[in-house]
Amino acid sequence: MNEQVADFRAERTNLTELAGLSKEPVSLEPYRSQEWFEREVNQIFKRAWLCLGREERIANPGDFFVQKIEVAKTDIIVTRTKGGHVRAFHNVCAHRSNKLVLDPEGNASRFICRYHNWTYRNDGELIGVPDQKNFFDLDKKSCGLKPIACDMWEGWIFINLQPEPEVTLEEFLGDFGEIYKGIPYLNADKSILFVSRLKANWKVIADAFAETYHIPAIHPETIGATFASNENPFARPISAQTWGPHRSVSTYGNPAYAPPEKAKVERLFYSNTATGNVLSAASLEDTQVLLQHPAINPTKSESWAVDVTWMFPHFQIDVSPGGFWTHHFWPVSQNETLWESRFHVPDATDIWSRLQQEHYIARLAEILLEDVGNTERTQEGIDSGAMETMPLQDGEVMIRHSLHNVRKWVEAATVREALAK
Amino acid sequence: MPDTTLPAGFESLQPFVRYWAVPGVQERRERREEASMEEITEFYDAMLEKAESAIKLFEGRDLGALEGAELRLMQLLLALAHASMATELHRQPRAPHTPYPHNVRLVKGPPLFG
Repeated sequence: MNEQVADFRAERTNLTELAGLSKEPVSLEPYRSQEWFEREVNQIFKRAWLCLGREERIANPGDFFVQKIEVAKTDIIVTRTKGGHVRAFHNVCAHRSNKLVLDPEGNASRFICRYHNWTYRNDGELIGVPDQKNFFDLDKKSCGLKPIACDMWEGWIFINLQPEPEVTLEEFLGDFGEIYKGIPYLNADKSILFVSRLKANWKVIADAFAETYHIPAIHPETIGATFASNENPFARPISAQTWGPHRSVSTYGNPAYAPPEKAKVERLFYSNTATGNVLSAASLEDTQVLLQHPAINPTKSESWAVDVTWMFPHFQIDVSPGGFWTHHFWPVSQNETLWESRFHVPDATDIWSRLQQEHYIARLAEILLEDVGNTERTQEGIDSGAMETMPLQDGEVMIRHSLHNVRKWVEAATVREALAK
Repeated sequence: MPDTTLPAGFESLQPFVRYWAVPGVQERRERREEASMEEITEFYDAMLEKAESAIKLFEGRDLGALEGAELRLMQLLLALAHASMATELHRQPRAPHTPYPHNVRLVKGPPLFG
């Protein structure tokens, strides 16, 4: 573990130095080069373990969802078998390679190809071939669905597009996988989902959620007063940590935040319960369970808002006192990204909690739009070629660490080499 | 003509039903994004005045069972959260410097009134 604690009250913090990263401006080529993008696809997205989300999405035997990974031209069926195991397969019929499952999600013990009614059990085995006798010694056992490497960690589903992954998921996660064990993911089975296709490189979008330096500027009204205060006017992080290619920052929350006088609806809707954080829709009891975990808010700061944890390459888990949410940044092209954001919120049980929920989601939508609306303008600026590099400040340490590891993976001949120190 | 009636005591909100009483979170959000500041403020002021009595009406109730006039009132009350984004945060219909139209959409909302 490589934990960096800095005092945001000091004249300057030293997270970048403690993470062992250079302080030089970083190149913008990885954000705009077609050639670099293709190398990222081949060297990163086709070699790294990629998190697809929570297992609660397919809680029951037969539950499945289909995940498209556009840049790899791959459609993946993720299913839970009768025995309770999570398996992943190429969504391709072994007969004439037609797409097998057409629904984005559902429950089915077997999948039937629409082309010639070839039938598979959801563990991949081919169990039905019409007019089988008219084939030539067809061996059904060798004509099952083609599996994709799939493994679980703490209820998170991962896949790996290498036919034989060079490293196990455990090795890929390293110390991070140990330290983040046992975190309660509150309301993991309940989520709302925001989606957008954005004209910006996947890293431009990921970067936008990786630092709080922007908050007082972009979000002055929505959450500016929540993440910054007179004590920390530029929303500096509380601490930062890195583990191999993965990273996390603990962000500052203004403990004195209260809705202003003019926010009559916010005050009314939140008047019946004490929830602590403006980005919160969970109960205090749930919050306490989370707060005790050593990896969450690692310095146990009283001015804590959110831990932003960025799992290499394209997935972020955000944990706050009110629960957690995730971001997937799926690259589409060097300047296009499919962004998916899931917020896990408890079901509303009465009028008060339902009103809070509505206010919470309404504000979230504003914050997210402020974040990603900005990214398309950033991409245009990067593409203009006006700038060769960008200077990054200490609070932007996760962006630097991301670029450092992206480069490592792009240049490394093997995954083990990419993971080496 | 669609039914726009509301529970007794909330008649003053009837002019807002057709525009603001819509089923889902994303729809309520879109209504606010498409409205002028004048329209938003008019709805906000009227609904806020009645908000506490509306909440009282729904306290202790099974929200999943609401229908007709009560359901419409519930949807109006929920729309107040969206109107407040404009009146209490942005002081304009949409967040400053954000693109419009845009495709940042809530594609799956909460189970109730989502």
